[in-house]
Amino acid sequence: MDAQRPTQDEFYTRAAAEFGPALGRLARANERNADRQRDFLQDIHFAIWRSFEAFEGRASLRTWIYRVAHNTAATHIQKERRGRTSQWIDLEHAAETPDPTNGAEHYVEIDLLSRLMTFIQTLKPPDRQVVLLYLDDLDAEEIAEITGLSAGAVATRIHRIKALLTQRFRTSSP
Amino acid sequence: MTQNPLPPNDIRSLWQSIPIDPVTVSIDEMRVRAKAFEKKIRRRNFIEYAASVFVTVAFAWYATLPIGAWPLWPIANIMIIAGILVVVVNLHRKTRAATPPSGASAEALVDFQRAEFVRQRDALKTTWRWYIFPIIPGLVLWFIAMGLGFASAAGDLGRAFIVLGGAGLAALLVFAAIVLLNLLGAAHLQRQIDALDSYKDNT
Repeated sequence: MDAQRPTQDEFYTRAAAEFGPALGRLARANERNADRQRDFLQDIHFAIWRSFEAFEGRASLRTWIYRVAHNTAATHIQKERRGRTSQWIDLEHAAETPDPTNGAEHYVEIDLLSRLMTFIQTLKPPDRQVVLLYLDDLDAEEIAEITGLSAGAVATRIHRIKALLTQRFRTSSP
Repeated sequence: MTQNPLPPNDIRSLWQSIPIDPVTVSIDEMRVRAKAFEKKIRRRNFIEYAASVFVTVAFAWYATLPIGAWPLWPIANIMIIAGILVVVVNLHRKTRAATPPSGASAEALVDFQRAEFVRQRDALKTTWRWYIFPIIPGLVLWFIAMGLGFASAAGDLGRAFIVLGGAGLAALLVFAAIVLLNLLGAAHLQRQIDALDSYKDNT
């Protein structure tokens, strides 16, 4: 065994320090209930720690962590919403679905963040993960590596995501 | 008042500025959790073994009852015991396969999800083979032996067979319903697999 190589615990400590906020956002985007969100976040941390037993450095640390975290999230939402998947929509249909907040009198006061969260939670899992990775500032190549989609497929989805975000999220000025 | 589109990069900045309560899980807590996970698996295995021992003892005891259909009656009970043991072994093998190794969850997202759906679909599709079928021969023989036993005791062959035939049919209908529900579940999972495949191909 390579004495210089970080151990499972060291890898995890580094991952938690570096990606803690991103993992927190992922948990928040996939679980509304505050108590369950905390448990779910701990599940993600546990999955990452456990996964480092098998980490051989073939993928970058960042790709590895995002994959484990998003796979844990995908399993969580499948379990939570088993049988209710018909409520989810994909990016193509999201453009045709009316924004429930459009036309509201107190439009300006509506919290952009909670609208963004609602928007994310209506998306089907693979689209949801692509949106979350895009929002976390990952580029198309990294998103492709994490999701297993081709770079072309990711580029198409990022284009749709940008169009959707522009269409749905507006600021008001006098 | 005019509404201006919020540039996507601003939305990204907004997203990344979400206040997050830091969650720190200590390494010791991780180890405690890993032990709890292993304990849960051991408990599940223990329940399986305990249930199979209980059922084996119950049917072995049944086999000794003086039902007037010897040797069909003990043979039927032994066949049920054998069927249940086959189910327990199958269940143990399948649940072991369902416990992922520590690195399995680092596969690419779409591949991971697809593999999960395929595993669940195959388990549901073959339920009848590994969960239902091993018990059926013993169960059918059990009802026949019971009918013969009652008939010889009461001297009314027709009535005994109607009552036990009805009970046997009801049991088979329950099994058929379980198989049907599993097949419907497998079909639902197949649709999700197809959707993932077309998602991956759709550029």
